[in-house]
Formats: sequence, structure tokens, C-alpha cells
Amino acid sequence: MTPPAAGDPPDPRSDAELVAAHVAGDPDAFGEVVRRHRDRLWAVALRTTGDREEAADAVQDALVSALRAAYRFRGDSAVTTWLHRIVVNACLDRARRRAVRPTRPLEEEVGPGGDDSVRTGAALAVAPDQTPSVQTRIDVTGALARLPEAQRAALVLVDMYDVPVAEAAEILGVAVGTVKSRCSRGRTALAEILGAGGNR
Amino acid sequence: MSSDDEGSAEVDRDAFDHPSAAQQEVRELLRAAAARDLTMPDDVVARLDAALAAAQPVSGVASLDRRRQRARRWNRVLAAAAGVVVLGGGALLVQRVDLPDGAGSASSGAAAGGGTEQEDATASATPVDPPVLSTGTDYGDAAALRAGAAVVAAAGAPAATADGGRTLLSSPQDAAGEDRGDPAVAQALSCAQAAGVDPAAVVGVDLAQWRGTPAAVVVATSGPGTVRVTVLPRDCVPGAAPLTSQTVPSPTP
Repeated sequence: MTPPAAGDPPDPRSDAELVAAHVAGDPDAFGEVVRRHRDRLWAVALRTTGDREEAADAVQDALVSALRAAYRFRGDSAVTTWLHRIVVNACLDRARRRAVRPTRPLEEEVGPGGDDSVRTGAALAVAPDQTPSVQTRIDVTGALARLPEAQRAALVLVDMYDVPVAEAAEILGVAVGTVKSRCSRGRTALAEILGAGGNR
Repeated sequence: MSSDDEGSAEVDRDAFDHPSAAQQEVRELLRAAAARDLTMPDDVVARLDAALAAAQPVSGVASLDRRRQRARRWNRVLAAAAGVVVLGGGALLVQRVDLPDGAGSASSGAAAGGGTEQEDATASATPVDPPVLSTGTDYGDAAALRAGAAVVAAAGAPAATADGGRTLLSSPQDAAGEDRGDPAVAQALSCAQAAGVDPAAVVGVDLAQWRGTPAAVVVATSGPGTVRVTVLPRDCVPGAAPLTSQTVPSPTP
């Protein structure tokens, strides 16, 4: 898998063409797909897991699985939807494993309400910054980390990254109505945590 | 999630389409948080590139050649293991002649270990495929792994399959051999090697589970009287830590 040299023209092939080329034996094709989407996949994984290491592991596991299973990709959905589905599922799988076999997370800290059992890991996933918008970001991503994984994943896709509800449903493997329900409940929970709309 | 199935889900869906002021504010906060998008850090990029390069399939002729090399290596290792088991079985039979109640079985492992000078001849006479089981057993502790190691080790024993006395060896999955070509096996072996397992010491693999997680259980000889059982996720990546790795007493043939 050879990364393109700086100044090389972008690969003109579509994502689907690159996946097909990978299946046909092109050793660089899948790497190009990854380069195109890795930042977005990373952002989604980081916000979904709320933990940098978990996100890194999930993205790595997911993309290795995608590389191996690319021959199963039939083009029924966009490549990016397919990749997001695999990454989000990897994140949720890791969250479930962590729930079954809890370990003391490094990022555990006192929550906003003084509850020291509240996980606010996503707050640390964002580098410290002095700009006013960053505090909001820390608050909202920290609050996001307190939601159930399924609600968090739905909100990350739909509200943070503007993924259409139908596509989010496909990524999450649930009905459109379920995505709407999860988003709505997640928003309500976040509003309560953040005191949005004067509810604090 | 079961709560999604409750009657209030309809209300939630309606609230999604017509969000309250507070919900709208949350949406704006989330969108603002995502506005400064995150770039994958360089260390994660490097790690990902390495994992993808390691997992990159080799195509066409190269792939076939690699499979053949792997098959030859497996055949050598497993033929040797089969030879050990055959010799052990022979020793057991001899001892049973002397000990009608079969009490000599505990020493048969030592007898097998002492027969190395005959292994090559036996091995060349009985080439075997890698013993790959797909028991689906959900292992959870060292005792279970020890029992699993015994089953996996026994899978390489021609005598065991011939007498029909071991139900796992006559399971449909194994009889059909459908798991022998499973990419998860090759992947598990790569991961086990990365975790320090000598490929030449591997005596078998069981596609099973570890505490509910689909896993590959790789059994390898590790020292006098012991085997090392390394449990890896089915979707493992070389270099990642195994789910568990334990040294257990060598199973008695």
C-alpha cells in the first residue's frame, strides 16, 4: 500500500471503483479509499466511543475488516456508508465488551454535577484550547459521552455530521423510526445535562 | 435497545420532526462541536497504515504460493504432532495390556515424548491437515481452556478419529472440514505469532468463543508438560494483545 507522493494528482476513480480495483488486486486502491474518509471516520469513532484509544482500535479493526471483506461489497450503498457502518459497529461492539468486562478508564474524572462515577472521557479527547467555542465543545462532547451508546451513535451521525436519517438507519442497522426515536431521546437527555433551553 | 420499542417511541419520532426549543439548541451545540472537524492523529494514521499493509491480501499466483508454503509447513508440524500422538497411543495400548483397567494412561504422555527418533518416519507415512475445530465452545477460564486444549490436541490424532470415541472430532463442522480454509484461522495464526507463539509449535486451533466474544483458540507446545493457549479475537490484528494467553498442563493423550 503506497501512499501518494505530495503533489500527485488526486486519484480520479470513485470510491466504488477503488473498492472494485482493490478486490481485483490493486494494492493501492483501498489505501486511497481510507485516505479519503479516515478523518471523518476517526471523528465519528472518537465521538461515539468517547475515548481516543478505543476509537483508534475500533477504526483499525473496522478498516482491516473492510479491507478483507471488500469482495462482499456489492455497491448497494455508498462506500462511505459501508465504511461508517463497519466503524460504528466496531465502536458499539467495543462499548459492549467494555460493559461486560469493565476496566477502570484512564479518562474517568469528576462529572459536572460532582458525580465522580460519571464518565466524561470525550472531554479529554479534545485538545485544550482557549477559544470560547472549545468550552462548548467540551461540554457537549462530555455530555454526549454520558448517553447510552445507541443514542450517542445516532446523534453523532445525524446531528453532528448531518448524515441523513435514512443513511444513519442503514449504518446502524435499524429502522428509520428507531433512529429518530434515539435522536429525540438523546437530545432530551443532553438538554437536561447541559441545561439547554433553561432546563438546568 | 428495548426502550426503543416502547409506546413512547412514536412521541419521540414526532419530537424528532418537530423539536422543542431545547432540543433545537442541543442540535446547534452538536453541530458547532463538529464544525471544527477532527483530523486523524499522525500516530493513529501510522498505526492504521501498518495494520492495513499487514492485512493486505497477496493476489493471484503469490497468494497460491503462500498458501502452499503454509500448507507444507502445517503438514510438517502436524504430521510430527500426529506421530507423537500415534506413538503415545501405541504406548498406551502396550500399557493397557499390562494394566487391564487402563491405569497406565497417565504415563503415556511421557512415552510419547520419548519416541522422537521415530517421528519422522511416522510423519511421512501419515500426512494430515491442520487440526482446526469449530466447537463454538464459550471458554471463560483456565480450566475450560485446559479442557479445550485437550480437545484441540486430540484433533491431530488419527487413532482418535478412527475409533469414533471423541464426539467433538466427529462434529459436522470438522467432518466437513469447512473451517480449514477459514481466513480467521490464518489470521489467528498471524496474530498468535505476533504475540510470541512459535508457528512450529502450534498443535491446533479451535474456532470458539472467549466469554461471549468470537475467538480463535490457538494451542501450542510451550515447555515440558505444558501447552500455551492463546485466545485471539476472530477479527484480530497482528500486534494487538490477545484476549488471554495461559500456560496450562499438557493434555494427556
